Amino acid sequence: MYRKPRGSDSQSILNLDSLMDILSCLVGVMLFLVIYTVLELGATAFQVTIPVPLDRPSDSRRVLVLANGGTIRVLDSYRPVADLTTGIEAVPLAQTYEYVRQVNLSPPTDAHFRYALEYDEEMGLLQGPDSAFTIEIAELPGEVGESLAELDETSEYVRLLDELDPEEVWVEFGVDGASLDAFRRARDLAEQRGFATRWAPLVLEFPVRYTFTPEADGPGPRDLLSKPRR
Amino acid sequence: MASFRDDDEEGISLFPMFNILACTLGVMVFILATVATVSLGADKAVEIAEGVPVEVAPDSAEQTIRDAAFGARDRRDPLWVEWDGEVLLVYPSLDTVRVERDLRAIGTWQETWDHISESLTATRVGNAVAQAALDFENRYIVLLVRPSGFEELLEIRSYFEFLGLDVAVEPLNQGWQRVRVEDEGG
Repeated sequence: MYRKPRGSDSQSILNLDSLMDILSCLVGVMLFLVIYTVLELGATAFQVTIPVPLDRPSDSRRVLVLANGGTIRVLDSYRPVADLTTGIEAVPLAQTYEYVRQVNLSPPTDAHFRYALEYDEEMGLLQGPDSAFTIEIAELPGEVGESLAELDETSEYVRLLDELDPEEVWVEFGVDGASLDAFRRARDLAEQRGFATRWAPLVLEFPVRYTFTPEADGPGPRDLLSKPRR
Repeated sequence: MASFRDDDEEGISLFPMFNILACTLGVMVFILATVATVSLGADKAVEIAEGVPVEVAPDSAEQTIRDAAFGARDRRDPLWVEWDGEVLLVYPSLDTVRVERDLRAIGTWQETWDHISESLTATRVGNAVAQAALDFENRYIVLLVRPSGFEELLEIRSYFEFLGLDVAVEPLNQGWQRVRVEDEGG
């Protein structure tokens, strides 16, 4: 009977049985984890509860908070515009242009924006000075606002909110589609401080200009009506 | 005597099997990482709940009236509607209706409302909205709007207000796929 020759080399072949056992075990564990995760994903509720704000009218002053490009910036034009225009009604018409030029030599700024006053001489002569003033709001270079990760109790946004009185102002958020998470965080912080809030879709292209009147409270979503007011 | 030596008979090589197992393990790790990423991110289910007014002890008659107004509104039953720029979707039934035309391109408010009304006619969404409008003292609309619907939000909102319904608007992230609304009494 032929006997299969068995060389001594076969004794030195690396035995991979143990490694195979380990690998098989690992594959089994991984399979179990995958199946468990898939089942869990289908059945478990990951819940994010979003409070739907009640829309409440307010007669107090509006402060616009821009939630654009993933960051939050407070655009409160009240004080800078007051700095630009206080006493302007007492300036003689002939000196208005020079007065505006002087005012704009050191334009007021806040944390994120620079404000300037423009005067249309021709319009002023034709229709009077009241309709000839324009406010221009420009971004300060490098002041992009605070992202979601930066919005906390020590943020610039909260510091600016703390300077405002919830009894005197309400907060309107101008929001774009890329900033919803930052907007919700900013809204929470505002509501925790007692501010009434609303929001509306808004993307502002800077510099922003709007006609100055004593009643004007700055740019906002209401400027974006797609049809004539009813 | 001649003997033939066959190298294959020296032992069974497990390297092909080892390769297959390593490949399988890699695929499993990839699948696990993908599932974990999805479960932590975009596919997160989102529950939308009504806002609850802050309980503040009234310190004036005006405060009392305001709180009472909030309370009255709270007792209203919301109709949850989602708008993404093309489709109106009602929760929790998930009935949908498509609004075909670009609402911003319609010249007047009346024509805009007529077009939306025509789109809703004889649909389940239309029935739900009509029932809410008939019971407007006890119902209001919670309009959940995706960023793709921001541009026509004003038109959609004005339609519900035209029907006499109060509207509360809340934005929804574009990527949120599994949205559910707060259960009644929940």
